Amino acid sequence: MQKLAVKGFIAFLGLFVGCVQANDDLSWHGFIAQGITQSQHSAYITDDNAFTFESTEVGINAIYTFNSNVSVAGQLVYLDGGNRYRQGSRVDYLFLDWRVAQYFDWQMNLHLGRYKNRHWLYSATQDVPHTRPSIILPQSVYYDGNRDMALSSDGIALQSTKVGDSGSWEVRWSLGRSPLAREETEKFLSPLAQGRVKQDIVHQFSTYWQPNFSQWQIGFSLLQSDFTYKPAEQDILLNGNSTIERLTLAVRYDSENWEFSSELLRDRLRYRGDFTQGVTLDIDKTGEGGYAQFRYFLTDAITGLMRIDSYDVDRKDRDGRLLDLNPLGPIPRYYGYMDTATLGLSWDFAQQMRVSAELSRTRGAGRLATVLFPSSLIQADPFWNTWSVQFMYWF
Amino acid sequence: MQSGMSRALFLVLFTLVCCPVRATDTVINILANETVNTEALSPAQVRLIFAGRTQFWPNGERVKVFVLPASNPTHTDFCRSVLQIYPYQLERIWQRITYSGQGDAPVIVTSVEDMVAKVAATPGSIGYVNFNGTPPEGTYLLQIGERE
Repeated sequence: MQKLAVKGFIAFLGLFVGCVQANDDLSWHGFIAQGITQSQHSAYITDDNAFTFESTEVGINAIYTFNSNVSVAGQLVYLDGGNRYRQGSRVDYLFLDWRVAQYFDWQMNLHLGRYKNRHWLYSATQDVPHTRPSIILPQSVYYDGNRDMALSSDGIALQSTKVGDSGSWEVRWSLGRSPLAREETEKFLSPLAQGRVKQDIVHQFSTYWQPNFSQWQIGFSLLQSDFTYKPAEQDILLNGNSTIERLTLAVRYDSENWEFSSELLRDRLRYRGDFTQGVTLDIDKTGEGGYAQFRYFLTDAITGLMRIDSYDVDRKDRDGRLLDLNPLGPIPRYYGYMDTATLGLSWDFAQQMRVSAELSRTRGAGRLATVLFPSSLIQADPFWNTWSVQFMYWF
Repeated sequence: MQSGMSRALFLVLFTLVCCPVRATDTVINILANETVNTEALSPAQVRLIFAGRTQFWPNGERVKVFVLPASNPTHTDFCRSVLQIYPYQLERIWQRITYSGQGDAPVIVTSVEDMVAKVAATPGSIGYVNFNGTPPEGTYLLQIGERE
């Protein structure tokens, strides 16, 4: 499916590049980011505390407008992020945009195809380095193991913007599913699972409100997603089904020289599956977390960042004690939570060019854990660090 | 002690919520190409256009937005006094639209003179200028209505 999407995007690009000379209905943009990074005492990015240049993000996007009602847009991206996510190219989005209603005070768009998730504060452009507040987004909400699944889905999405007396309302709804690569099965379930996880459906709704000429924006989003496990011929797992439900609250305030944003989430994971040894695993736990982020614009070109990010895998077991009793073997308690403090600095040293640097100190490894055998995917110490420096260019 | 803390917190929140972007005294007018054919827009409508939400005029013609560089004082004044937002917010909105397949960024012009020339030459275009008086041929000053 991924290969088909890549081919589809290349065909889309090839078809419309020919139109560049003919008219201005085609526009295209892109970005290149290359960095150096390291995770210490954790294999989150690199193994064995090694430095790496596996911090590459290259993307090109295009939009072709057929008429005032219909356009088509797509983006092809190549990523290399060490252990953070699958290395390689993917089509982040490729959808038909139908402007169902377009008045001065109200617009509604229908997206068909691989639509982009726009339900969280940074999700619309979380794949574009220079639009993110930091090189690595807060893992409580935007955790890397889930990157492709969370970024876009194949299906249908609706979004509406209404400006009224009370302010500006944005309402978004989407229904679809994401094709998952083998690596995503490992990151979601366990590297020991030999089969594939299939996302059956992801259903999302969100709404954001900004009072007229106010600097506040508040909103919430809901998500429900179902997964089925397809075992391989030789597999320790016979079957499996899981459901994730998530509620996210978001707030952002923009001041002249600073910006504050925060998202809080509660997600419930239910999983039931049978193992070949006759063991049945039945999981039902609710995680909680979120981040508070403060950015200060020191000058027009330099921005500082401070952020606290926290996630507890099970709100009834915030210190991970119950992981001692895991039916498949005890798990270190610090896989039950993950708290991260981040400091960062960005400098726009030339037009459309930026260098960003950031340093994080983390306690726990809860967001690096898989559903089964939580400590099997990424080894980490109870406390670990990451740092990254990344150069970005966009056009 | 507790009530003092609560009062202080309330005051901070009240100030943050109710304190709008500081407007400036500089004259800023919306300049439109004569094909736009719209007499007046509300402040919210102007904001929707310059934020890339409204991409077509009621007659189906594409909205072409021209802006000055973010560092230009006239652009800062325009963002503050007309859009009631900060320039970095406008840039963030445009980046979100451009890099999520929802539209195209505005064209950045080098000066007010360049802005006038581009708006006059481009059907469906809109921009802003820092003067009153008679607009150049092919353009007109679009009225901004009262706040809702």
